[in-house]
Amino acid sequence: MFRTPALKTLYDKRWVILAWSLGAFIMNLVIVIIFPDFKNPQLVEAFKSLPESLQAFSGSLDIGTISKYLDSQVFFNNGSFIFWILGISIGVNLLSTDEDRGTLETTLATKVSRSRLYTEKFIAMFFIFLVVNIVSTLGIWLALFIIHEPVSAVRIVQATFMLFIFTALLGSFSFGMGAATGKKGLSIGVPSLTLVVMFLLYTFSQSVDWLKNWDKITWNYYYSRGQTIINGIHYVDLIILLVSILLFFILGIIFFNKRDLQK
Amino acid sequence: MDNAIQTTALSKKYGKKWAIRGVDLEVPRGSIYGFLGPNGAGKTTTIRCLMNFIRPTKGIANVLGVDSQDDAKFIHKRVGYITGEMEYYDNLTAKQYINYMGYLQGHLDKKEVSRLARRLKANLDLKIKTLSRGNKQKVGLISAFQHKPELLVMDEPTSGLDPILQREFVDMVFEHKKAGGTAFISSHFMMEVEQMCDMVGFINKGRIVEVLTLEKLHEKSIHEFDVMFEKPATKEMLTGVKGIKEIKLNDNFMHCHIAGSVDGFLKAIAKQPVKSLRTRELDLEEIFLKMYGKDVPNV
Repeated sequence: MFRTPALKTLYDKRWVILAWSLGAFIMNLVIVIIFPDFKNPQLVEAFKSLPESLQAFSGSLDIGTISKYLDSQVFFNNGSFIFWILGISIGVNLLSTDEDRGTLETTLATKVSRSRLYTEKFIAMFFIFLVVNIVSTLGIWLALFIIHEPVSAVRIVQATFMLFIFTALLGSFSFGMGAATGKKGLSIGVPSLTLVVMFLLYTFSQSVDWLKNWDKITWNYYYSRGQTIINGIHYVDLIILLVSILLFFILGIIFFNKRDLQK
Repeated sequence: MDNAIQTTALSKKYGKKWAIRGVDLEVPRGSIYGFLGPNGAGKTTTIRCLMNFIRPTKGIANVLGVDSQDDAKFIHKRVGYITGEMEYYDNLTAKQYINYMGYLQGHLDKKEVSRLARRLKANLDLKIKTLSRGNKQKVGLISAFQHKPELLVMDEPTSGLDPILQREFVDMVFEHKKAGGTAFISSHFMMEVEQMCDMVGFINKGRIVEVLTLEKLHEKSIHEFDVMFEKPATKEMLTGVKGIKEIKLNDNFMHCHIAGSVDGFLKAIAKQPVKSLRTRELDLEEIFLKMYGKDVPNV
């Protein structure tokens, strides 16, 4: 049935994967399907007249075209918020919850090494994010088909990939923190707080002068600034996000291998 | 003699408190070693160091010839591990759990699993979350024994098992020994350890207090008797009886503690008409107090 920690993790999370995939699919479907209502020029003008900070806070409100709308409302705004939650909740659950319950010790009493368990769970986490991202994108495709709006398929795939990487980054942060400390509270709290601070910093740096360049220390900057659906993948940004993931992976595994398991 | 487990000055500190300090253990290969101590004595901490779940603050834990911190994988492959408070994957059936652990262990003997399940009368088709504590413990025992480990490391393994299954467990441990295996079993029940072990290490407040062979343990073990005679009880009734630790008399009633063999005591009281006789095993705290005269000092 399942012979490895990775497959066991996917088995355990099968309903979670289904629920998240369906939820993200429906969310994207609904958001994209209502796009024609936002094409109203008067509405677009009204949005444009809003203060810059408010526009930034809600994702750009320059949403007159489907590409800009997707970039702002699907991949930046709603998308990233929902995938924040997905990233952190899955990241926490895979190792910290096992440790909380005591099943981590049960697994590690076998010949499975800590490194193998950590790596397999990490891979399983990536797979979960990938599935949810792919299914959620199908919602976009279906909605675009219904409303007859053409968008480059390549760009949608690229934007989905960037969102997947962003989700994986949040998951890696939370997962790595849980592995390094064994404390569930920390692995939820620290990544959540960091992300909120980064989001606010990124948002207000666009309208507050003295915060002008501070957006560069946020992940949101490297995820959003390229407007992937309009411009394609910005490879430097992608590399920065990938390096951050790698860093969390390495730090997590080092500390996990050295620390005591919680009882 | 070659040791399956050898610890040298093994110590673990949590914050400012030493959980164990300077624990030296030698568990010969092919033996059954009882690790006895009251709750909170440091048994679990020692075992968690042996299994590399926690890192010792000082000292070395050598298991099957390997430092537990250097190659835990080597050790875990050869060890059957179970604790009385083991956590299982509740969403799996017992069979799924045992199979999964077997795959992770790198050795799944399905015939042996079936044999052990029959022996322990375990229903492996039920979800673990529906099982009682005792039945969960059976699942853990099957998982720990099925891969025929060289060494069994067990932390209070019989808690939750009924007396019949406890007997079955003892037999399984004996068979393991007969096949050349070693067992390290922690407990806070003296009688359980007496039944099985060749050697017993006593731990209290993080320190090894004494290591005894089974023979020496029998000499030191203490039994409590309450005897009601037909006639008034006197101290003279026990003249020449060895090992009397405590005696209280009240008319026809006699309460006493006997260390070591009870043969002399039973023969002595049998000379009088006895109305009733009650005996009880002292719990570990009482045994420590009787054996060592006072509580061992804090580490």
